[in-house]
Amino acid sequence: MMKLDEIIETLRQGKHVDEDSIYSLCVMAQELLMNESNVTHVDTPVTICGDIHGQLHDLLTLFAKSGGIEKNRYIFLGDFVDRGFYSLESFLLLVCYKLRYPDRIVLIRGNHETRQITKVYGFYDEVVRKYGNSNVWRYCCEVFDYLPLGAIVNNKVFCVHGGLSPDVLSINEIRTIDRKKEVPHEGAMCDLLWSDPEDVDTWSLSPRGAGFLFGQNEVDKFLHTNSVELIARAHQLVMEGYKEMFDGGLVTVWSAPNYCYRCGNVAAVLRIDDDMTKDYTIFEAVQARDSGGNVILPTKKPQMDYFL
Amino acid sequence: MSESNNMHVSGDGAKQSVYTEKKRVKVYVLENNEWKDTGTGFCQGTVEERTIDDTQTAEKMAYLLVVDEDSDDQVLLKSRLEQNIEYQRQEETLIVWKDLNGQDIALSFEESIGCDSLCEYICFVQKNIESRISLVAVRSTDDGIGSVHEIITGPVNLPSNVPNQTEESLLEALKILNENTSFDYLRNETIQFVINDHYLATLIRSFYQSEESKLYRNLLLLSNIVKTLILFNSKEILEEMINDENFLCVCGILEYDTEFPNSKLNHRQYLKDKEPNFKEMIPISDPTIKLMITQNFRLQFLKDVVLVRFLDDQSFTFISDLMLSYQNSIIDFLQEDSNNFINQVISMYKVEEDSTVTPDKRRDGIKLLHECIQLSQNLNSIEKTLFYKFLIKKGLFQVIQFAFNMETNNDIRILATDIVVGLIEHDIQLIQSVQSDEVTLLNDENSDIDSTDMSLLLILTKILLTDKSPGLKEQSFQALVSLLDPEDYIVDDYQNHDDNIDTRIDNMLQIQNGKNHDGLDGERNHEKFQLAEYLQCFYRQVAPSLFHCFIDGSVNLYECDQQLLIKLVKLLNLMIQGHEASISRRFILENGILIRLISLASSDYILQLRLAAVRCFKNIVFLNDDFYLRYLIGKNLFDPIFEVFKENLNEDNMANSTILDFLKSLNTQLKVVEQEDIPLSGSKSSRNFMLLNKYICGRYGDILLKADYVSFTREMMAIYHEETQKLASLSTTETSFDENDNTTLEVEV
Repeated sequence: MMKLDEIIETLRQGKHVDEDSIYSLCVMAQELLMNESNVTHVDTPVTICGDIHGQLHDLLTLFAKSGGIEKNRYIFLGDFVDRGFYSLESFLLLVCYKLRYPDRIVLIRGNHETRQITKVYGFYDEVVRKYGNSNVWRYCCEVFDYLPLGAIVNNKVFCVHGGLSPDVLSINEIRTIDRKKEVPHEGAMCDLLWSDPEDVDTWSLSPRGAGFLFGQNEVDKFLHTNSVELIARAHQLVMEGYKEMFDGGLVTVWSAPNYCYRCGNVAAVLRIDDDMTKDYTIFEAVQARDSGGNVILPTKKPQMDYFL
Repeated sequence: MSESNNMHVSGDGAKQSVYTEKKRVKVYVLENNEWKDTGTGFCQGTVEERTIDDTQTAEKMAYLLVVDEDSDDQVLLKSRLEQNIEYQRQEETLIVWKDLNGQDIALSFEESIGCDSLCEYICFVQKNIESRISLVAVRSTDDGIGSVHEIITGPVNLPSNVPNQTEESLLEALKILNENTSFDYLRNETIQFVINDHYLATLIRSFYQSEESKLYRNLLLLSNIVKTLILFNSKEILEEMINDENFLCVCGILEYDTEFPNSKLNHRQYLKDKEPNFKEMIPISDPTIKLMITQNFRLQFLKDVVLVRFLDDQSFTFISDLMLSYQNSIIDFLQEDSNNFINQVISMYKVEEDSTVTPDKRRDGIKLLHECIQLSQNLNSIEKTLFYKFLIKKGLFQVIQFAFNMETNNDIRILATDIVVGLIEHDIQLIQSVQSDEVTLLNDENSDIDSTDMSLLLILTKILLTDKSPGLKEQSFQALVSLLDPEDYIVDDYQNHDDNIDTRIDNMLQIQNGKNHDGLDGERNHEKFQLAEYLQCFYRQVAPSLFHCFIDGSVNLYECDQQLLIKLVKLLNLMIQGHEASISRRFILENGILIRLISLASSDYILQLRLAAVRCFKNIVFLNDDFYLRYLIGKNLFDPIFEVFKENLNEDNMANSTILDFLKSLNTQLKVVEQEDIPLSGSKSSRNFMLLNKYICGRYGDILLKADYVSFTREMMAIYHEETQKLASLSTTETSFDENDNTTLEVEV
């Protein structure tokens, strides 16, 4: 079993970590995560980050541009995996940070942190390609089940991956969900991870087939009922990195620059200070380099010998 | 006959040929912005051939000729197809164009078939006589507002194919190729050009020159040209790119990337040095299949490595589909008995030890079989079943046995388990057939391996309980989950490929609460019967050893591997929820398993395990089974659960949430009961939940009241008090049972 700091360094370089070490990491992560509330309380100052989607090198840029885990507190709004080519390394790096600096990082579950979605959108295939079998994927999925569903900053900023749910009027109701399960296809837990804000008058069907569309009315009601000022969520690509809606009652934060290595968007993180001021940091995809200064072009690991 | 004003050449000496049949048509010309009907006649496409005197060459001139329907010698229209006239076919029956004099002309055909035939003629002329004319189809869009233009024929701008390409010519080529992707016609013409004129060879030659002369801009252009060609989604072009001659060069060109102008990938180096080689374990004589195997690999390499950031969804699907067609052919090849391929692989694992087969060779064989399973992943379901049945018939199970019993390398053992999991996840019945085949086989050979049809389950049980590798444990657990999930047997149209045990159980609960299985047809009944027999075998032969630590009181659970216990609790959960109560309940209750199980909720154990035990109990409660409920209440088995609650009463953590979730669900059931408005004597469902509420509120009321941060604990207490009062007033009504009386615990079988 490798040491935590050693694993962190290996992951930062995008290198291979052995199966048994990952197993131990995942078991430790479960123990840590299960002590967290479904909606975890976080103090300012804190940096809120949106979707990562396996773009390890951009995640490293994110930390570099926003001060680093050693000195700052972070909330990640989920969707660590799928799409990019380093889902495993990105997720494990965040998990390692969580283990190394438990009070400095909150990892919220996104709609991609499920068995069903990762089987289709890349994470599962990535693991099979890197390890020849799916065990590591299973260990990670088990951790997904323990991730909190939301966070709240200074009781004023509600953080969630997707959005609101008609089944959740007050934040306190989220407490009564046993979250250790695959994300269901409907109900409060599903909606929190799947819903989107939209210019609609009332709860509407979502074209995604899960969750709802909600508008200004729902947001205003939610903010008032829970006396919060802002809903910070991710889940949707924003070309400018972030987008405020509903008179500043909601913001979408997106942290995967040049999404899928071709969307051409910039990324953003949102810092909330002690006086509750909001400060966005914008960053672009930059070329990754290994420890020797050589450029790394993001790619999938090629397959080795083949028999057929 | 030459009365048209447009005629430049007189008819003298001209030879006229007719290319179409006569089609009835109305001729219109545009005058003062209005279409004027100039008569009805028959339209034909004609070509006049004439020798030009000075050069002695033949000149061909093509016409659209309309002759009045009433008089053969009355020409209504004779219009030459020439220069760059664009003909538009509008909807089904109209051809419209502007001639060189600027006259707008329209032919309105009586039938669309007439219009078809003249359009074909225009195409013929474009191809053979007047290459610069074009024909465009114009159709209004479905909403009727806009229109769609599609080129049917016309001049195609093609890249220069001269041997010495310059930066300018490459830039121009890229521009042209990009333009040509937009219309099918241009696309197809370009594809023909690339193939017939060996355009790829030109590009490769230019690539070598540019790389040698370090013409960096040319290299980037070449890379973009190749990428654009890939977006043409042409099988011919793609296959030309991946043939032996071109593949390495194409990868070389694609090492240059405008997105990363300061760096270069090293695909060629990788392909040369690391040699991801085709390891031909068993010689393949068929050259086409060998080629397909190589091409399949090369496409994979292009798709996953070289082009990974570039492919759009369409091209990705296109390449995947092409790979699938290769994979289908390869799988077909493997199944042809005459090839003897699989036989040769599996013979390496036959019981009589063959000393010439090295351990490494056997390991490669397992890798190969694993690859077979991987390769078949994208096949359709029926093909997959046929292929797996074929492998099984050939003795795949012997290989698995070998891996489990003889192999020492964990990676290889994991591959073997992965093969089993792959088969099971596709169709569980396959394993059944393996097992029965295997039984006969083993009996014939007087093998000492346990000759029951439970052998696979027993092997998996042994791995799960004793193996040190977490990976193998995980896989054998997954395999057992699949093997024990009755959904995989009975509901064949219900595709439960979700291999998360919790989801499976959720699904079962939904099925049990909602769907009624009364209407099972004969086949289902038969399957059900088979399933019952299979499960009875499992409970007799496998379950006692699988759950030994829960049954044998002398085993100290505290000393067991807690991660293993979590898996066992999940399996028990699956059995309790998924198997017919008449089969599973006896095993569970007679062995006192629930008593041991709920002891895992005590503070001696890690929280994951404690909560797994709580969730299992929660699921038992909502099974709404009289026997279980009486048992749980009678033995006061809820105590550890409320201990967990008490410990975490004012913590906002997962333990607290898990129990709140349980109580909330119970309260929801109580509300259903209230709505049904059936008092104590009501349906079984209402009675059980009311009973449980009475028990819980009576025994743990003080804890419930302390959980005042949610409303449903108060609601539960209110219902409890209300019921107690009702009871007092109806003193003659018999209460359903005394919660401390557990003497009636006869379990039906």
